[in-house]
Amino acid sequence: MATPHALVIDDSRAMRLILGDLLHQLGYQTFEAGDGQQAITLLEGDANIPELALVDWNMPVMNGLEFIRTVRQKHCYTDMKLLVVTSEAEVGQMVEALSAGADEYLMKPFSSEALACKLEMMGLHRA
Amino acid sequence: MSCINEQSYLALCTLLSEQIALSLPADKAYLAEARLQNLARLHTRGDINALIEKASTVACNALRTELVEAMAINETYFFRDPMFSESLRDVMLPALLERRKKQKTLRIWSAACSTGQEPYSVAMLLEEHFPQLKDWDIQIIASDFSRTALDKARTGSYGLNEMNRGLPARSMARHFEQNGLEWQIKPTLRARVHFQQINLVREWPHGFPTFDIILLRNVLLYFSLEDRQQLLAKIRKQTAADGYLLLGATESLEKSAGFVPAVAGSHRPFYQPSLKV
Repeated sequence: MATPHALVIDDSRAMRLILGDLLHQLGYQTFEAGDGQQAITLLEGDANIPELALVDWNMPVMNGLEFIRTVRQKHCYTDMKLLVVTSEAEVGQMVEALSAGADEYLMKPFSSEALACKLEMMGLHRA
Repeated sequence: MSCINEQSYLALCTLLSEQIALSLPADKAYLAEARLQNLARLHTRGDINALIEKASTVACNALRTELVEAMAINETYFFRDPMFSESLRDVMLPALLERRKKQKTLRIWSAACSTGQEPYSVAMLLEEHFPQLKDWDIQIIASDFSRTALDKARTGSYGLNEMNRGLPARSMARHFEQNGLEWQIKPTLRARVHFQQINLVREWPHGFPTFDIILLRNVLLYFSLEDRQQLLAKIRKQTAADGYLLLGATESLEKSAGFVPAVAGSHRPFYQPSLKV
């Protein structure tokens, strides 16, 4: 079975490293972007669409919500699952992200088990 | 931290077996040391052996309860394992909806509900997937031996870690209100679950009804064979003749238990009473 790919979008380098590490343990190959615009550029330059993107909310240039709205308007990314990983814990924001097209929402701080649990709920691969 | 000696560990195992039928393996002394540390600090200056001895004496009922609760396994989370939702949503509830359409009643029992995530998950699932049940008389009874766990369950308030485990974001947005660092189940949903203290290995309430669905998930695996057989015989009597028993994802029942798999040839852990007891 081919290794699944995941895109990690977060303006914090430390957070990208942590998420990347957790995803590697779950069998993913990861690539990363520091904001939504960088992520769009990466996606457009790569023929392999990842099965999953972990999306932070607050980022410079293009935030997570704008990123979600942008990719959900493009048919080629319909199958890409979007998991918002954020410290924003307001129910209103959660509703906004889900309405924009996010599949799931994980609040920081979280355990590795919680991340694995979310991926399972989204019907995604687990090592 | 004091180390637990062999005699105290044996006494603890006996106590847990008598009180809640928890069968503690011989190699789990380290677990007892970790779990009883705080209680020992409060009551016996950190001495775990003294704590067990004190809790074993007849007069110390309250301390014994505290000790048993500290040792109990309260692992639970919302919508624990996909099997839970799938078997309820796709098999058990559609079948019962058809069979109970005249009387329009449904009784569900979460028999070891710990801090409440399981019965609340059932209530959420019913509201999200079965709006046609609105005018039915639905009873969700949730029980546990632990008063501490039930006190928390009744509040319906959960912290970040509990919210992040298993609960779909859509359910969270629909059924919870944020209250500082906690999230609380909305009052209407909370009111659908009735909690009561029941120790599965003691006498059950007089006039306890039969149920259409009994959830007994991840309980039997901690029981000795004898306790397991006794409990299953009682559960069998409490299950409606066409009702269901749902176990944990990795659990299964032996043929003599009085239940048969609800879906023939399936490895899914839900059962129906067999015709012959």
